[in-house]
Amino acid sequence: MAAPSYRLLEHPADLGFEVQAPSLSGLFAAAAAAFLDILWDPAGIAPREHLAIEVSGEDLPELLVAFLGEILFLAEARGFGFCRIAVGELAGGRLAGQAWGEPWDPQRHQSRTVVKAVTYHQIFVGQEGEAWRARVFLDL
Amino acid sequence: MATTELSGLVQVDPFRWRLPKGGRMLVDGLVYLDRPLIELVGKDLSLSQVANVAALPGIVGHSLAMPDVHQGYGFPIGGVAAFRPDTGIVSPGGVGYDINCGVRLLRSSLRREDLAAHAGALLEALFARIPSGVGSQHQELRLGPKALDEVLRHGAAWAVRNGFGVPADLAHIENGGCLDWADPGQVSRRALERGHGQLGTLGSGNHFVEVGYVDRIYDPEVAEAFGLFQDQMTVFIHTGSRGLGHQVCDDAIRQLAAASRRYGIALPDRELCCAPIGSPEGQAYLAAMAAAANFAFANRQLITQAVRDTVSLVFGLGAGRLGLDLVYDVCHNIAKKELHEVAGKTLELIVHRKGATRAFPAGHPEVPEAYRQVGQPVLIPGDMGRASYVLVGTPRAMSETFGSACHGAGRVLSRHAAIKAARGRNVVQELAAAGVLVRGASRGTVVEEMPEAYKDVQQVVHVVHEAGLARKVARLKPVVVIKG
Repeated sequence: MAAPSYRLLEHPADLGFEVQAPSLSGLFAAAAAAFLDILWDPAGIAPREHLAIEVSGEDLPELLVAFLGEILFLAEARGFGFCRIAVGELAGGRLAGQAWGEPWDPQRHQSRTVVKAVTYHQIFVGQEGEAWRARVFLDL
Repeated sequence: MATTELSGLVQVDPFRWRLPKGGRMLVDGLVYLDRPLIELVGKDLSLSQVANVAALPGIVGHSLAMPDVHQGYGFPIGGVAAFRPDTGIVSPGGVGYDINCGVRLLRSSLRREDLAAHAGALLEALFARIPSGVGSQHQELRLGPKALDEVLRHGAAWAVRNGFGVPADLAHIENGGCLDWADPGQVSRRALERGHGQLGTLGSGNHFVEVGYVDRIYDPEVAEAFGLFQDQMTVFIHTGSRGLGHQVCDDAIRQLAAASRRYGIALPDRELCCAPIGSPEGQAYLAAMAAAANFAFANRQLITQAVRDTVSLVFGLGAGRLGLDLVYDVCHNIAKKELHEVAGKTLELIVHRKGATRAFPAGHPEVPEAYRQVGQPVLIPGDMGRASYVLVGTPRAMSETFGSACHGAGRVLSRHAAIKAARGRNVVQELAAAGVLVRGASRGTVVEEMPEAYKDVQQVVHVVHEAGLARKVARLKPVVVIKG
């Protein structure tokens, strides 16, 4: 599995990242891959089970915050680590997707960053020229 | 009047800077800094965030920033603002994601030399006993829906009733360890699901249990009132409402973003989404936030009992001989209903403290009876290598900052910069050589939290003390630290 491509944005109290992709669904998939790579080592997690993701938002920033927030919620509430997120349907302020992974095992899995929340701080989701771009900051 | 090149700050005195009203600001900003700290503030968005808060409806007095101010989400960390009950708002951005993250301090009958003799064993025993790090769950505690409802309603009192602590603890917690306007019915199923297994766990990042000693007394009379003496063993506990609180905030930001649109409140930053205090949405957030705050009070109470049991086991002494009494417990991230004087009238304001500590003075009815003659203990943790401070609230804080002071040191290095700075070094060994034993749930946490990642808390406390917001009482040094 190739490492996801993203740019980290650093600040003493925050951690943010930027991704880009040729399509909007590609952008959400890239953001999810970057998010997993920040949270833990996805390569060490097996895609043994999958969970459905369904979120909605009034606009693209709200949809992206809800989407990444759902990944965080499922990880914490269900005790899962994920190695892959697939974005299925993305239209009309709704997103449906799948998250593959397995129950978190501290003996085998490697945490990288503990994230409390996905924030709207300096959030950006939009098209710049041919590319779709997103910028998100995480509360640690 | 000196003006800095930073966003037009006007110097009021060596420790106060005014951010004059401009643009959509309804009031001036007031920032507590000295020259060395001001350079750090200029590097981030803190001052813009102070200005944004000043533009929120119904703000009273100033949009305030404590000397540990740094960029946050919506409010700056170190931000304080109070809002009128009739025209004001409540904002989850003024509380933050870790609702009622706070700190408590235990004193003891033990001394520095007793701690030195048991430090290694205590480190391992505390680390084994208190769940910390990613996905940590309390192994013996499984709360059913009814018990969780009671935790959210009663906070630390639920914990004491269930054998975690003693009734005297409750008298030494801000608000008695319970915000009585909590409504568990306003907490989402998702928040309950995310947090129910995390009660009694430390969490990660900057959360810690730190056993140390009183290194220096500045004010003997107040120290005596707080039960503190030179070389006494002390314990700091720093944690919050865990995933439950994070989810309550997450839910609220979405709900209040919609409410802001409904009420026609123009937002300078989406993280400042808010609703009028009296609105159904505002009241629902206050009730859910209070429930999460109560979860945090209960969480610190459970960890306190785990600390007492562990110290008792390691030292081979009964609780009566340990004297591990609670000095005080303060909230750092909270919105509270408090009575303050505004233009000669007493009003019940909603005071938001986002990375700030309540600092009520002598004589205030909300200060525990044991401390009412001197004022409220103000607990300021530093970093795990240098020091932490105990201060006492003052009348000046009451008249200027709605009874508020700073809450810590504030970071200077990003987490990745800390990891880079630690490359090729063994931070745990370095700290041990300096007399501090550290265990972290992961090596990464210890490195990210290393002392040089933080400002020197001494600088921050100096400003608070000199500005008269709180007075120095004692300095504490760490010896044993467990990190999430």
